[in-house]
Amino acid sequence: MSETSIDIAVLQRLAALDLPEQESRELRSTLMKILDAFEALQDVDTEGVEPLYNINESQFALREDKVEQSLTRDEVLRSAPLVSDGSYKLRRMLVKSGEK
Amino acid sequence: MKPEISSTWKRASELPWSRSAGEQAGSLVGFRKLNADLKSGSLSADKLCQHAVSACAGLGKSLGASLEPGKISGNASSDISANELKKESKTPLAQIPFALKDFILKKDWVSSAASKILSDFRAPYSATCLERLENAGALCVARTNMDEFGMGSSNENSAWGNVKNPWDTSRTPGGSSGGSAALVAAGCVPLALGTDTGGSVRQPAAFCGVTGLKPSYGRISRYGVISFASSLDQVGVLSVDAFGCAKALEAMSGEDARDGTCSKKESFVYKDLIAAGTSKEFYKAKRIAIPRSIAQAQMDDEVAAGFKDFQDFLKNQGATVDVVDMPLLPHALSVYYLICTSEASSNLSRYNGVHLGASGAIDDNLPLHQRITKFRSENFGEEVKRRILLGTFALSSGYYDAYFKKAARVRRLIQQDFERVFQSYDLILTPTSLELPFKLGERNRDPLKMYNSDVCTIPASLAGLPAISFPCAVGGSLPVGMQFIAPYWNEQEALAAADVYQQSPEGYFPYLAGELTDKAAAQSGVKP
Repeated sequence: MSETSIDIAVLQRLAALDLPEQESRELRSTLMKILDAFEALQDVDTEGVEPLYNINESQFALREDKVEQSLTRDEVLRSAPLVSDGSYKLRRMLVKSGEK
Repeated sequence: MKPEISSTWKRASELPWSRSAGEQAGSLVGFRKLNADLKSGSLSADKLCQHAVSACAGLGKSLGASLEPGKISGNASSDISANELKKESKTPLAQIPFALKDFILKKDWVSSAASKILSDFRAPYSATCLERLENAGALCVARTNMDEFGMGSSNENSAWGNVKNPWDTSRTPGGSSGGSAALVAAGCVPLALGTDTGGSVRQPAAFCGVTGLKPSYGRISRYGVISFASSLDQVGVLSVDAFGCAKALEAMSGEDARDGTCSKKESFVYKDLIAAGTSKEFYKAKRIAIPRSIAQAQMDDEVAAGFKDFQDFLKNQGATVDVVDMPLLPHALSVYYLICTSEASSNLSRYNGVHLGASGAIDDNLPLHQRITKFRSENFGEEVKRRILLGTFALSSGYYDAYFKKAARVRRLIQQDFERVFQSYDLILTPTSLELPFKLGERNRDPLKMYNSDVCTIPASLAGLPAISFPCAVGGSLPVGMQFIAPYWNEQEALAAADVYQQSPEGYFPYLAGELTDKAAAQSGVKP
């Protein structure tokens, strides 16, 4: 795809990653190189071919809805960096006017 | 303090699963011998376990292969209670010590995926595969190093440092299950669990001269296995031989209500042709295919020589070996890297520093989204960020059809390529890697070159097929691995093919483990 262009700033925002300027430029050029190398894929005739997303496509993954012992609240919260009163604690979500 | 390699064997070549030169053909070797010795009592389970614990902590650590045992208090050896050791040797896995890739959860152990982002994550539950292996009597003695989140082919992408190849410590053990492969190769454990997304069990097995099995997709539950690319990830086994892999697969396979992608079909039972005395017939009239793109690929001379030798062996046994066209195979690499990065970008979005993760970065007053961004940027490694961004791109509006969906369509064509070949052939043969283990640091600045290391292993992953890597030769003092790919759900065929070869007088068997332990120890400056 010759019209492919990578907006590295947008990708970083989508992926919640923030790289230093220099690193981000280098990464963009690496990604372009990788996509260039993958270019031949576009020439494969896939007209009418269904995408294959998973090997066990036909499998019906629902199970009976019955109550079972699962992890306790403490076991789950044990891995969290910040906990308060048996809950995950978040930092403020609101942004002051003028703040990014 | 000098770590002790082995308190129980003076020379590591006396390891119970090694085959000493004077041994007669026809006697038991490898995992079978280990089983027989444990059963007869000529090998004490206690000593075996002590050896494994001290070798993993000593030599394994100096190779960078073992991580801290994992328990917050105490260590792995204290985990293994005297009671467990007294268990009767009922199953072939009873009393067998094994190592666990840092990607698979063991309750109360740290499971970090070799990432800073999970550096203090203690698993609240155990993975199904691990539980089943432990229920069969096997003893988990070590946690092994890997590439961060399974992303890498050289084990240089670990936040905890790279792993060295026991055959030559200046070289890579392969990746991402490099630590597991190195521990088996160095004779620290006879069995280790790994995971294989695009070759992460098979390529390190080849680089370290051990046997590595990636089962069919859906064969082993992924419950409790940290996700990289969910449509490709499979738990795999590394062992001293195919028989060891077969026994571990038997224990771990089968339906699991906690993983919707785990198949509801029957569990695996290995038909032992050696025990049945029919192994000599196995290769007679077998039809074996080699994909043309692999047959014509450039490969290291030593690999080419091993590949040819092995084909001669097959022909001498009565097999037909043909080169076949698989026209879509050359696209497998692109398809794989688009799909695995896309799935990874989604899977790894859960690491936001709220539910779990390193606690270091919480002392700031940033708004939530900025804090999440900072947390991820500071704690993910370079290759992980690269793949997340590539995947984010392939899934992004405007490019989704041209990249992710296109790759998924070509993936189906690759699967059909395999189905067509398996209508006329029993197995597909390739080298596991086109090259010998390369030098550490040689290509970690060139991601494309690194991605190319997986060219032989990726196709089977895309099609969800079982595949096994096993050593067939030593070239220039480094091991060469062959790979058999079998039809879907036919692990029996792949395992038997490797097993029959390894037990035959012509078979190259990795009984070097003993010498290797000494050699690796000398190179790492550890005194036996």
